[in-house]
Amino acid sequence: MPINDSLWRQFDPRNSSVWRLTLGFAVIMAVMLALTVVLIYQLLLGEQSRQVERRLSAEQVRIEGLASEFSSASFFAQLEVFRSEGDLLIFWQSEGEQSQQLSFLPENIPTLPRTVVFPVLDTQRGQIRLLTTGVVHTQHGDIVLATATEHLQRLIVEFKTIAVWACLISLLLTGLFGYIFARRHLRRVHYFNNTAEQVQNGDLSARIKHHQQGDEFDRLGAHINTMLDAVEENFALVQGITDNIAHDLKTPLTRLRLNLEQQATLHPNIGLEIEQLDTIINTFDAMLKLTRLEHGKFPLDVQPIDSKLLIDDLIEMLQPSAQAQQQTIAFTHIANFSIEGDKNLLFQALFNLLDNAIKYAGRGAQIHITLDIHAIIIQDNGQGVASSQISQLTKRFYRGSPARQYEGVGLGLATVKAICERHDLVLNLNSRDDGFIATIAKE
Amino acid sequence: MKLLLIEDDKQNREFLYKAFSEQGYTVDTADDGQQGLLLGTCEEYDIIILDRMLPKLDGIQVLAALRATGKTTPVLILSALDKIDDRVTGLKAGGDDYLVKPFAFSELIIRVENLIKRQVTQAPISTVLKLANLQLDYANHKADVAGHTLSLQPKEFKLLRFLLEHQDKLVTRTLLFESVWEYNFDPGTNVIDVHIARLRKKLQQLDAGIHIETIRGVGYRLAKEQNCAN
Repeated sequence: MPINDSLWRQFDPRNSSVWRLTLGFAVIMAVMLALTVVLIYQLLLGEQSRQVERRLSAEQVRIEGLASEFSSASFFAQLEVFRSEGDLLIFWQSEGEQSQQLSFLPENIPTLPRTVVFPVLDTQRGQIRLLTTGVVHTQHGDIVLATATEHLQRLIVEFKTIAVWACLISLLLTGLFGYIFARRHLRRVHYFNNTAEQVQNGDLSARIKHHQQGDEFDRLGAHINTMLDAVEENFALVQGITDNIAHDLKTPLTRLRLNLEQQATLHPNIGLEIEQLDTIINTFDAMLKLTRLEHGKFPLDVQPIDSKLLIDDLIEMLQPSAQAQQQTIAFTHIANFSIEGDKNLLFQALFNLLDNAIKYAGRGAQIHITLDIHAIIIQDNGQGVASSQISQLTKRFYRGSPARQYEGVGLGLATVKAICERHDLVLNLNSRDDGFIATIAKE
Repeated sequence: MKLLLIEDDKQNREFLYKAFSEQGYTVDTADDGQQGLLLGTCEEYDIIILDRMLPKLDGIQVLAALRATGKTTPVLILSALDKIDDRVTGLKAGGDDYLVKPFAFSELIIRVENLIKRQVTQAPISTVLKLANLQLDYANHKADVAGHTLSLQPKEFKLLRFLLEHQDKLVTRTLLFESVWEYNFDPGTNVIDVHIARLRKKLQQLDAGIHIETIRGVGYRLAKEQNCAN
């Protein structure tokens, strides 16, 4: 069964295979981005951080060496020299005297080679500086080593921010394009589906538009079109044969009928032959009509239908036949079943259903017709049909056991089904212990 | 009455020529579309019977060309093709009535007469139809037999009126179905027989002096009873 149009519209692009591929691709991309970012970080910034730490460690070794070699006074004098020579910041606390360079020293500074980064306000420059610091324990007291690393720290922060944004934007773009591709993809599949449905509804001339040098969809479209060309050609051939048979047979049948009719005025018995001939003609017509209905070759004279009037006419027409069998026909009109369609065809469908009920429900049966906004229901309290036969009823030339005693060829319900399908209606046949129910409802 | 018959099948053409001539029509015939169109445009006819499938020019083309010249002669189309399929195209192309092959001659003649009658529309002098003891006033929707009201349901009334209007003529089932019930399909059962039987019974009960005869294979004929005094 093809999915109908509205369902296709509701079909969420997120359920398409392209979207799933997009998600998979996005995961792979996220992992690769993360790896790249880590690698770049390690190569550029990580190395610089390590250099700073190596430098502090080297100084630590040097200071520890000095501390063990010199006395306290000489040691601090050496430190003063170091401080004035290099860019390294060295602080110490001795005899309650604060080192001049820093108004306060944070606690919890780790022992080198471990370090910590903390901000200080440089009053001379009027800016906040970031220092990477560590403590060296010597016999002369704790010495704090620090180096200004705000450039490096800023680089690290910027790098992280940019990396996070770059990852987010890439993933977002992947998702967005994936969604757009999925929709595009679905729209093309939808177009194929529509064309297939058109063909199913009998429009064999429907074709898929495609580019000569296009993608896989275009190639698929071209292939389907070639197939449809062949189907259409064969169908036209069959149709031509049917029409020719119809024409070639009907002309001699007309001669035969006209001749018989002329003779019937002299020999009344010929009327029986004419009736036989009419039976053949009617079967022939019914088959042609059914074939054309099924293949959508039967043009509908579409107009708004007054369903109440249709059923009133139907009951009026078949009431005498029901009365002849002591049957009653009851009609419950709940609401009008609004429909546009071919009046003659819809009437024929209802006629066949009610006619069947009258024929097969048995003498004295009660037939009930219900008209409501969703459905037309024709129900009888006869014996019904064996459940195994139900699905066979709408097949061509099928005749259930009770039908054999009546004239006919078994096209009635097949025709009803074909008429319903042409009107986008559903025919439902059901047999229960208390009788047979035929329902015509909207899809 | 002048009739133009455009039909390519020789046997049917000859049969219809003979049958219509016997009914008092002056019949011209054409065996292909071109000749038919020529006659149809140059001569004046009361009715044209046109076969749907013709050599040289198709029936629908003939009809379209005829209507294009401004001719309003009623046209009855005969078709061998499927029923309503061509009915719609045929009537849209300007056909006035439509008959599917094989058909009963009695039906063709009634349809032809109806089409001619439609052309010469004159106000009916009276809306009362009378036959034997029956009087049917269709303007007031009343029917009575010698003063007794005949109770009829709406469709029965229509049926009786149609039969009275075509009294002494053969009326086919399809024609009745189309004219009285106004649905175009073949019920394929004895539905109309049952309605006729009921009507017949009602007429007999009141002794209307009217007989509806069933002619097997053809249809019905309403006539005054032979022994009716009136």
